[in-house]
Amino acid sequence: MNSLQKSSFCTALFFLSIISAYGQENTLDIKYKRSSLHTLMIADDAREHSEAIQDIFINAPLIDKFNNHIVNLRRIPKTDSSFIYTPLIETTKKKGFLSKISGDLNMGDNKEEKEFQHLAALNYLNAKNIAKIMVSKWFNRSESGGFNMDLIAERGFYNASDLDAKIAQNSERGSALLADAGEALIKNTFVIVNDFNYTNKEEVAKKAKGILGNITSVAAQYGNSDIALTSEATSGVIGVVGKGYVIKTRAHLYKLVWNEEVAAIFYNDFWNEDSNIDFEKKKAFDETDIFKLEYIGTETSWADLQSTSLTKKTNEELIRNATIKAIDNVIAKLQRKHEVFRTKTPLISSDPITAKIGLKEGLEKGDKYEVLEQVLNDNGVIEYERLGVIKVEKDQIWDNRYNADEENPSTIEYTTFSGTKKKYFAGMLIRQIN
Amino acid sequence: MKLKNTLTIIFILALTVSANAQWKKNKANEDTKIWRYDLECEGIAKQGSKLVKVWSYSKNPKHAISRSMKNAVHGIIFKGYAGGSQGCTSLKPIVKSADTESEFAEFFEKFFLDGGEYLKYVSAATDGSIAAGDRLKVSKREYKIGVIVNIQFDMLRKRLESEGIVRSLTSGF
Repeated sequence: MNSLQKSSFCTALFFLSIISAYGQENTLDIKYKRSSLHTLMIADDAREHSEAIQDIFINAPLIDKFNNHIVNLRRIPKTDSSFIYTPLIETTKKKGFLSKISGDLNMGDNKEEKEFQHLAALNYLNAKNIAKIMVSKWFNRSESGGFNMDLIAERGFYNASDLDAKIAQNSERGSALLADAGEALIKNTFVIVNDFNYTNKEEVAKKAKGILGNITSVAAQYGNSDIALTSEATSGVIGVVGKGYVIKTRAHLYKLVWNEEVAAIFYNDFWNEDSNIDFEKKKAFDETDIFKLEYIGTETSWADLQSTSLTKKTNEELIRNATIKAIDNVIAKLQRKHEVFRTKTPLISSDPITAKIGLKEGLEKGDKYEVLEQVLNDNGVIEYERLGVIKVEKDQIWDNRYNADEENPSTIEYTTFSGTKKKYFAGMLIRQIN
Repeated sequence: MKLKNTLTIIFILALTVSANAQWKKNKANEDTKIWRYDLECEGIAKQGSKLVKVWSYSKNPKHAISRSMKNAVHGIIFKGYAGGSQGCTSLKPIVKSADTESEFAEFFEKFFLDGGEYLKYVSAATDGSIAAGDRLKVSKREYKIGVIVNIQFDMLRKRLESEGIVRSLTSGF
């Protein structure tokens, strides 16, 4: 391939990638649906504080943005035979001071682990029938094997936007319309498998001090007092700073496979009601393996809980804060990366800039939203043009959570954003970007 | 003298504001004068009503929103809509002949005046809120805005029957 061909090929590739990016934008699903989430963690009992970490993880609250779809199984024991793992092999030799410390403390950068962990976790989830358990939860399966639509209806109501509710009020079926809409939420069911890797900063500090101590003594032996003094001073600073935890979280995201085909099989072959149990169908559901999860992607995030040796917090408190921070960080990262998690809604007014979303969608002060305008291009295709960014204003967040009227009465009926008022208009789409 | 000047300024300002408001109104009327809109069914409405989404076109999105109710009533009388999802079946226009509008021009002109009688038969289903995706810039100078409204279909039909514009459903039996 000569250089001209190469450059033409590269140009074509560049344009193709642009077209593909546009294509993705054009398929934007403007109707936001709440996702339902189950979370697990990989439990390695050999790791320090593993029991405390697991306890904190299991009791950590799920953020309001998601429907709680947590089922009993919360931990994947690293030693479980279903959790098939490619044996660790010696990683590439690391060089340098920090690499030595992180290598000694096993910060989970093993290449094999990175490549196969999500598959191993998927094997485990499928072996434990997690997808079927999650379907059972959606349809409130009773001990006798009957299903009902109560949870689906409840989530349908909760997912409904203010606009949906108003339209439903004007329709013949009224609120039943919202209840039925809950069924569309089943396909937005996700599982996150977290692998937390904790590094105790004191351990790092001890190692760093040890190495610096060696440098000091060698430098002193050879009469280099400058190096000896510098390393002694550095060692002192590390002693003060070095408390707390650094957590690296690798989160694998899976989605419940729920399409028309699976739904048809479920309703035709497995549907049962408590009032009239069909034992053949009950048995068929108990034995089926048609429900699956599919792997979506993996995200890695870091949470650094800085504290000094003067901090009075106990180790348990530090671990707790660090774990919660790590969970929040990785979920935030998944939200940025995956379109399905990004809240979308139209603006209801431009002065002030307001929208009918709130704490139910997990809004926090300072959250950024991009304002998009739908534009019909010359080819008749709808594109989304970004007009600017608006921010959630402090103390102006609508509490639209379940029972908020009774538990947290407020006069705020929408969330207010800060931004250039004259630039935006009611009906423009806003989409979460952070 | 000073008071006279102040009063003159206030008078000029009031005149300008009023002229501006009238200009905006005329502009909106101009935008919708040709009855350019699309009507679609938005679901099964309550007994005697029709729930529709009306897409109006205008250079100014605000005009499109304000004209949507007028367009929706016009659409139900003269255009009807096709069936579709959400259990919608097609609806024929209330009037059968295309000439009816010109035949009863005087009535319809008065009926569709700003603040006219048409407002008795339509209400905003979403308090004027626009759903995501219902605000579309179709060209550099034009917007297409979708607003969901509720039409009092049975009442509207009866009103037109009382004017002799359409025949009563029971007539001819």
